[in-house]
Amino acid sequence: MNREELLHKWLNDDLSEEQTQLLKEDSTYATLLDIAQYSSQLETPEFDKATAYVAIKQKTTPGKTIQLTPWKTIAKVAAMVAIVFTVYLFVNSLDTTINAQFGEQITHVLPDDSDIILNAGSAITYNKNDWEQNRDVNLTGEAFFKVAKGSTFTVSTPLGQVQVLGTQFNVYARDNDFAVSCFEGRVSVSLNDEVVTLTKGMGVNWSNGKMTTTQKSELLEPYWMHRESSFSNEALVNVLNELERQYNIKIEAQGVDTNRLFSGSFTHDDLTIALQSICNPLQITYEVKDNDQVVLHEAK
Amino acid sequence: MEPNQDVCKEAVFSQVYKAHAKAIYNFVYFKCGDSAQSDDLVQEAFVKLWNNCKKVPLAKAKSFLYTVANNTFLNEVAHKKVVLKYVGEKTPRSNHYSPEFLLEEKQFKERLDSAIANLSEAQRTAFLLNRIEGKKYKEIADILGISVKAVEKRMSQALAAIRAEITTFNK
Repeated sequence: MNREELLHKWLNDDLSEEQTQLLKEDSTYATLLDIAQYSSQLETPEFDKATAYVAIKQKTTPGKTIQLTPWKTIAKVAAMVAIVFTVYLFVNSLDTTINAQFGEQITHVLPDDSDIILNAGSAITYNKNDWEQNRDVNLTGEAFFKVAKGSTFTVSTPLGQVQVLGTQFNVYARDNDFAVSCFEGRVSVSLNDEVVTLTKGMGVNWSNGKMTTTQKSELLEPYWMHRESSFSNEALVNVLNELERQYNIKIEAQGVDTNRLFSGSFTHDDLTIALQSICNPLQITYEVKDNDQVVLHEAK
Repeated sequence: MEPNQDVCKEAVFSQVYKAHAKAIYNFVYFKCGDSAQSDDLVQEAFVKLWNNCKKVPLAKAKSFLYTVANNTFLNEVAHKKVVLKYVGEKTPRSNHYSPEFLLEEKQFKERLDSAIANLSEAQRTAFLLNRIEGKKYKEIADILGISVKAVEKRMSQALAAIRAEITTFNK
């Protein structure tokens, strides 16, 4: 048996001690045996059997699609998040509306700490979301504004616009009447193409397209904020409408000329006194019925 | 086919996996030297075995796995340097642990390492199957689909090549 054959036998583990000894006597083969022996001490990198098995099972389980399931779940969650987010954005982008019912006055604080006092039967809407960029309030009815200093503040009404930079003013916008009174600072009022600038104590009044400026006033706040409504040469119909709003009543004027003018005021605290304040000077009789109905007659 | 011989049975398949996964991994690693790719090829081989479990009897499962691993390897694997590490601490050469000897042994191991990496893929696979996996020539011949004579030839060539590289250094 030659040495090469002995070497292979040794590598195959079936060589006797003497034969091994014989191989070792040859220096070439002694080196080969060293090489062979050291080689058997080598090891391959770690192989994670368990993890690989899980991976195999995933790849071999048809129908269950284990791999896809988490994606489906993720997709569901993502869709829900998207919907919630969209609804949130939508709700957030909606305008805020503040509504003062008949018979009530509401004070509302805007995001920039500006105050709005709403007279009875009035409403404002504005967008809380982009308030910083767009200080814009839509008004129907009557309200008093105490505007905090800052960027332009606009009050839009169906009739005209009021623009200010930190001031106090009253805006009245009902039917065809649009009136603005300035109590502090300066305001700029625009209706159609007309622009009027008001300073403290000044007021302007559009009635059916006709503009009149009111007398300079020393008032700090409008009358209605002190539970009183005041009129100067005002059509009776408007006075009665205001009365309806303040007391949340229905007024029926039978045979009474409601285009007559009225100058005076009425309180918000006592209907009887208020009715007397209006009716007595105009020689009108009134009759308070149940369910908040009031009927007016021309005095005989 | 007896039920406990059916590779399609989860339990049987799992047994086959436990018995051969590491060996297949090593086999591929001897060839390519890339642990991640070896991982992939092991998985692929077992996935193929599962998909073909009806056609492959238990007795043939092992050779099926080697064949699949080998074929897949030939198809796609990029070769990398085979990196192995030593595990045994016992030294066959001597019981004297003189500093000179330890240094010499360290150098010997380093050269052996690089010499193995420089072998041809065919030589290295046969050589390491024998040395690390402790497989007999007959088994290696079966795995590689060659004759025992061819295995002998590869072993001789591998040893000679390694010896040549190591003794060159020594001179």
